[in-house]
Parts: sequence; C-alpha cells; structure tokens
Amino acid sequence: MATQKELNISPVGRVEGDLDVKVYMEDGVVTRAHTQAAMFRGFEKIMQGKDPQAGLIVTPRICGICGGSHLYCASSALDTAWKTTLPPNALLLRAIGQATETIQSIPRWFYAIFATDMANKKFANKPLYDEVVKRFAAYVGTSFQQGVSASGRPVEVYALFGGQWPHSSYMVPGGVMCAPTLKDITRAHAIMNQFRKDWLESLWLGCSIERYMQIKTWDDLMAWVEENDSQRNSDLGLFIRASLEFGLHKFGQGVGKFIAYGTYLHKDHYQKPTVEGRNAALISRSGFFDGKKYHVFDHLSIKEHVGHAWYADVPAAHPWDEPMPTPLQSHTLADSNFNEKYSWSKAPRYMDMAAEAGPLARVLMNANPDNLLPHQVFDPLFGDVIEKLGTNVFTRTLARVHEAARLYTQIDEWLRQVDLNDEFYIKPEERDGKGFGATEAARGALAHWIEIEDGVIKNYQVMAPTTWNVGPNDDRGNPGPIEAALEGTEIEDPHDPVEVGMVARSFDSCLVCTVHAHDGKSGKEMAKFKL
Amino acid sequence: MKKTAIMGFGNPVRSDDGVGCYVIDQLRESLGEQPGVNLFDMGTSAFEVLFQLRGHERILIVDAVINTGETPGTLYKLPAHEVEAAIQDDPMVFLHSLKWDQALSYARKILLNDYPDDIQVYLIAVDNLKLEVNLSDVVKDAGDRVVALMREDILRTV
Repeated sequence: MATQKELNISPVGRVEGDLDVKVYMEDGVVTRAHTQAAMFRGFEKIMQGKDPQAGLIVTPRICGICGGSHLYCASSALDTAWKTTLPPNALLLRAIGQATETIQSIPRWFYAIFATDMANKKFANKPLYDEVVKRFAAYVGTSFQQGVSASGRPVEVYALFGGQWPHSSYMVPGGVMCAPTLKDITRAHAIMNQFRKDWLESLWLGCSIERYMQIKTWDDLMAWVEENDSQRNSDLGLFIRASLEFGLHKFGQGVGKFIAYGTYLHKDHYQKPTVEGRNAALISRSGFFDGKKYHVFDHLSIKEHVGHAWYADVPAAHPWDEPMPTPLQSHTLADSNFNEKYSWSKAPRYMDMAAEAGPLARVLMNANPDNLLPHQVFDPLFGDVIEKLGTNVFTRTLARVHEAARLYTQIDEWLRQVDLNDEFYIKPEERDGKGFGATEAARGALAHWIEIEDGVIKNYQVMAPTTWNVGPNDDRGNPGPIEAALEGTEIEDPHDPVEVGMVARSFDSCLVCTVHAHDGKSGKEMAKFKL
Repeated sequence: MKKTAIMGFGNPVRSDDGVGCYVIDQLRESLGEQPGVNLFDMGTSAFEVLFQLRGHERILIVDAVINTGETPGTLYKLPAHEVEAAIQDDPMVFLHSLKWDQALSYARKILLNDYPDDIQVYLIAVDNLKLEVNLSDVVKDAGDRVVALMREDILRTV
C-alpha cells in the first residue's frame, strides 16, 4: 500500500504574494506539485493613458532587486517605438548598469539565500557537512559575512552613473542622463577591483579570473577543482564538491526547455534600435532551446495563458494583444481548486511550450555554436554540463555563479570603452507606435511591451522572468517549470521539506518586493507602541 | 549630535505602501540639507539597509505596516529590536521577500560593534495596497505627522 500525502508549504502570516507550494507525495516522493503566486500584474491599469515615459519612473519601482533591469527594458521599449538614435556611450553605460546589478546579485543570492540550505541538518551525515556549516551557515558562516558584504560593491558603480541604486531612472530613450567624468570611471574601476580582491578571486575562485575562464567542459571544471588546494578549497570548489556529495545534481529537473531574451546591446551594433535588429546586436545571446535544438528568438512566439490564473478567461494571446485583465476572486492554498484557477501568475508559453528562464538559459544560449557573430559570447561549458549532468538544482545554481567571472571582465572592458568626449544622449522625437524592450535580469528573461496612441500609453505589459518559472498549468494542463521541477523530488522529512525550498530557491523567484509594508503579525505586541 | 540616517521604505506604485517614500520626499523639502543627517529613499530594497547603516550612530526608519487590526493611519513608534526578524524563521524567504526587519538582524551580526544601537521605527497602518500611485488621505495625514515628529526631533538635536 503506497502512503499518499499532501503537503501545503506556505509562509505563514505573510503579505499576499509569496510563493506557496502544494505537493502531492507518494512514499516520500513528489508526484505532482502546484505553485501559487501573486505576481506583479496589473501594471496595465497604472500605465494606461499616461505619458509614454511614465515607464521610466514607474517600472524601476516594481522591484528593489532588479529595478535596473526594468529600466533597461523601459528605455529600450521606447527606443524601438520612437526609433531613436543611441550613441555608443549610452549603450555602454546601460550595459554597465545591467551587468553591475546582475553581478551583485550573485554573492548576495548564493550566500544569503541558497547556500544556507546546504547547512540544513538533512546533510549532517555527509563528510563535507562540517566545512559547509563553518562557511555557509546563515550569519555565522565565515564566507557568509564576506560574501554578503562584498555584494554591496558593484551597485556602488551603478550609483556612480545612475545616481542611486535601486530605483534609478538614468536610462532614457535616446541614451542616458548622466555625463561621467574621468574621476567616475577611475572610481568605478577601483570599486570593481576591490570586489575582485575581496571576494571574486580570493574567496570565490581561489584563482585568477583568466585561469577560470579557460574552463570549456565539465571535465575541465572537475580538473580545475582538483588542480590545487586553493581552487579545491575556494567557496566555488567547496560548493561543487559538496553539491555532488549531497546529491544536489539528482533533483529539481524542470521542463528541460529554456528561454533567454539575451542582453547587453553592443555599442556599435544598436545605434538604430529596432525589434528586428536586436538579436544580432546582443552580446549575451537570445534563443529558445527545446532540449535538443536551438531556435532563433522571436518575441512574437510568446503567448500568455490565463486558464489557471485568477483572471476572466480569454484566449491565449501575445502581450501586445492582451486585453485589460479582469481579476477574479483568489483563494488560499488550502481552499484552491487546482483543476480550476489557482494563481495570480499567468502562464507564458513559447511556441506553446513552457520554458525555464534564468542564468542556466543564458549560459546555454552562449553555448550555441550556430549564427555566432564576432562580438557575441561563445562559451561551450554548459552545453557539455547539461549533456553530462542534465538540469537540476546543482547545474542551475552553477550556471548562476559561473557568470560572475565573465561579467567582471565585461564591466572592466566596457568601462575602458567609454569615450568621455563623445555624447551620451541624442534627443528623440516622440511618436505613436509599438515598442519592445527586453533584457536578462539576474533571474532571467524580462520584457516590456508598449503601445502608444495619440501621444499616451494605450497598453503596457511587463513580463518578469519569474512569470516564466513560477506560472501555473497552461490551458492544456501542462505544468510550469517549478511545478515540473518539484516532481520526483524525494522529501526526507515532511516537517522540514528543505528539498522543496532548494528547488524553488534554485530558480530564485521574484515575488513580493512590490509590496514592502511591514507585517504587524510578525512583530511583537504592537498596541503598546501606538502614538 | 549623533550622525543620523533617515530611511523611508515602501513602493509608491502600490498606493499606501508608498508612505515611507512620501515622508522622505517631504523631509527633503522641509529640512533641506542638514549637517550630520542623511535622507534615504530606500524604496523596496531591503539588504541595502546593511550598507547605509554604516557610519551612522542613529537611524530613523519609516514604513507602512499591515495586519495590525487597527484602522489605516494609526501610527506606531518602536525600537527596532522589537521587530527584528531572523531569516531562519522563514524557510521560504527569497532575495525579493527579504525585508528590512530581516536585513537588520543580518546587519547586527555583520557589523557587530559598528551596528548602531539607536534605531527607532515609525510604522503607519495601511490596508490599501492596490496598484495605484496615490496615498489615501488618512495615510497621507499620518505621513505628515511623522514628518513633523522627525523634523522636530532633528531640529531639537542639531
């Protein structure tokens, strides 16, 4: 007789909007899962009828983690709609903003969110456990503090150009609103150098960036780990060894299909921004990988399904064609009927398929040998890693941390390419029309779609990477990436389902920073503090 | 006088959630540049608290609060240690769902002796978090009360 169990995993007493998970288990293994999320939708309502540039002010406020990514999209969407001309400096400074935001997220997420789970008692009987706890335990881990502290540095560079981080509005259609001096560029180099010395090379890699960048295959990576004590005992070396020992490569598979919009538009290849010219102008490439082959990315192949989302039913549609959504009554996890509607997140599909967005999707696109242009990244490592190990919690996490070394070298190179005597902004002419702006936020594919009519916004759609990952079943009953990734996961202790947390956290979902209110229930007795 | 940071948290595109940012905006206008006082519109960042705390001896925080059971506009003032939250208490916390109360407990562990022990928190009860860019009148009034209290506090200690 199989033992069947249902588990509701839901952060108690929080604001609407965290990720709640319902898993169905049989003999300790997850057979099916549903993710319930309150995603940030309803932007359409705020933006309708407003000045076309409202997105530059409003969308960076969506998020305190990836406001720069939203700004990148908002300015790009207007560039394509208004047919602006972009000076090379503007493309460089936008790329630097995006890259500094992404690189800061790597140590911050790894130490504060992901690695603390590796110190869970579940792994206490493993040989490397003591070392993992010593380094990665929340607060007290030796690397935890250094890593979290170092993560504050790259966005100081963003603030040099953007004025502040998060929530800056320095990217505008036609360029950027800043005119850095040599002092700013020198200061930016110094800050990044500090980041390299304090964390990236010393603590994280245990070797030079150049040495790490020579790795091209899974075997190269394993040889790198064992090459010397410094690499073996670096945080990355320990993470790789412990992951394999703890079995993090054995669960959290997902849908096996990947989407990336690509990012970092090259300074010399996107001075006339168009939707059609975008793929060729990217440095980090876009694409859709169906598990076997690569497809050229076309945003028109994206549709959103609402069959299982709390909106009135409409046929699946592309964001430019989506009607104003009609919200319906939502339910708690316990009261939801999963055959009907059960999430605030819509279900995006590419050519009718669910796809995972995120760093793993990005590094896979960079392993694509086809259609490669001289200014684009080619890095075969993850093509090989996925072939040998497949998709799982370990490879997904490895992809994210793998990006740090390359991002560092790119930021360094872009800072050197800024021509202080050239312009940073070319005033555009406003016009009606449609625009599409996209980037790769730290967590994956992010896009804004805009339609301008009679000089005001008619339709504005924001689709976050987490919508791809955390979305519910589509209209045909196919699960979203996290729902699929939970299937087959063995749960050792239903009272502490750390495995579910690890799968969900490996996607690093973005869910609630749109609402920031403090929760009175989580504080102590508040009545006595009334003024 | 102690070197002071005033931090407003919230999201101006979620109606009353934005009251913390409103307070900072108002203080910028009515206080202007004061020696030894830094104003921070923290928006929806949380971790940044850790980095902005440094070099200050006194912190004033203002944010909206939900689930108090009181009417919107109710005002609270409490020391930060009353609301500090340990991240381990929440198995499903993500980078995005981290809040300043959790960031403070990080900061205490990481800054050790540099952690400012004088942190006061003003909380304004709200319940309208709809996607809009306006504050309701009662919450705006409460925000104005906080502005007046903070202003008085700063001008008294300068």
